[in-house]
Amino acid sequence: MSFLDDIVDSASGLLGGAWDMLTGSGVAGGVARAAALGYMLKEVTASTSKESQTPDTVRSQEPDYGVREQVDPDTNNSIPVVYGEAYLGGKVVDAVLTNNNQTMWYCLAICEQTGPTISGTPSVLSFEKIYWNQSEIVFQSDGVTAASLRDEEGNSSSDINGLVKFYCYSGSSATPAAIRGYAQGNTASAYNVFPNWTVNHSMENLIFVLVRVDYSKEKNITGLGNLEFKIKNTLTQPGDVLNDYMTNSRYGAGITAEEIKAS
Amino acid sequence: MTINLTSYKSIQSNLFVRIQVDYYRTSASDSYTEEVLKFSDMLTPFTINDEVYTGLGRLMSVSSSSSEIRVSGGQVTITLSGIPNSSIYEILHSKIKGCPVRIYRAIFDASTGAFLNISGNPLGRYRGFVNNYSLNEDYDNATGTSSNTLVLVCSSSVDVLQNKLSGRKTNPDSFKKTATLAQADASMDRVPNLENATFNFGAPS
Repeated sequence: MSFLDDIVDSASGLLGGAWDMLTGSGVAGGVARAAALGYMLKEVTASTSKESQTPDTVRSQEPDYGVREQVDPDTNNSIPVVYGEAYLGGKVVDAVLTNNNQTMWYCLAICEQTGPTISGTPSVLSFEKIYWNQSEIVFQSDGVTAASLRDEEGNSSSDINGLVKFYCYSGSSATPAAIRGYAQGNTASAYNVFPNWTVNHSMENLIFVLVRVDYSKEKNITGLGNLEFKIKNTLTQPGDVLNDYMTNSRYGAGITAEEIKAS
Repeated sequence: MTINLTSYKSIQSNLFVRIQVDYYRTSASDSYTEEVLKFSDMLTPFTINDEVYTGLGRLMSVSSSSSEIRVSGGQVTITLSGIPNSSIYEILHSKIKGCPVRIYRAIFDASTGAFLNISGNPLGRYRGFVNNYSLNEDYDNATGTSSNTLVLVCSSSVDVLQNKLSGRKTNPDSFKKTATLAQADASMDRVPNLENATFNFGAPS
């Protein structure tokens, strides 16, 4: 007689007649077995779901370990040239984690500063709009801090409010630029904004942006979103563009001006 | 540019070669200076565009080049013969490769030998860069002397432009080539270190 028989005997003793019905071969016994099986299944299911339904108060006490943010700078990334209007993503060229791991700084090179027109008028590259995950960013009155996101259908979300800042520059670290539509904008030199930068971080002849992102798991701001910048260059006339591309020694053919009959 | 020669019964043409050498020196110990080498296949020195071209006569030759309506590339070989051994060092120690080359064709009256002072004369024939050069020695057993021949292989500006890569990349070397601050410019210095780097953004400190 094994210990299994002992268990059965014990249960039989506790349940008395009910045990006989469960183990019997009659109709009543079958019904009783089905009911007992159903009850046990119900209890098991309830027990399982109780474990998964952890109260919010308990879950909120779990530590936030943050995210493992990987930036994608590459020494083989080319810096593009923009004439007219274009949408560009920008290339990460620097990144710093500060503020007890709660703030990430990114520097994104957007495009080259182009040369003047044939008549000598300097070209001006400006920031028209900035998009975060395909939604247009609406800025606060300072022209730097994101206030909300607006998608193509006009839906608005303020999750980003105050958590992301954009410092735009057109030409070098010492030439801050404003985003179109915002009278007030960035006025600080890049080396005074980006952590650990000095005047030697000239970013010469570059259109670039410094992005500050404050971590917020609740608002789902945990890294650099899919960014897109709408850039507009005043150099649009075909003759000016061809002349600039042929003569520029930085990104063009580097042909000397006297070798081109411009008029 | 074309020139009208219908009123002339006979003409002669000569070629004038101008090579701008930015790093020229006569020996390995000298410092580099700028030198413009100017020579022609005339027998005497001649001045065009306010520059005197040394007449090398038959010691200079230029290979044929194509003249097409559409701009096209092509190589031209300039051969200079009779170079004494003492002058070889000037070629070896100077930076000839990459120097810009211009070849002009000047038109003269065949009967008088006078330069035709008409619009468009001299004509530009070729514009390019020295792509390579070679030195060939002719040794004379009888006299125990030798003379050398310099062959300059030139590529046209079109060929050079077709092979040219331009633009900046997001790396320190590429950026410092064009930066005013040059070696001191630190704008892209961190890019190589940040490749594949990760940050524990939001993690407890």
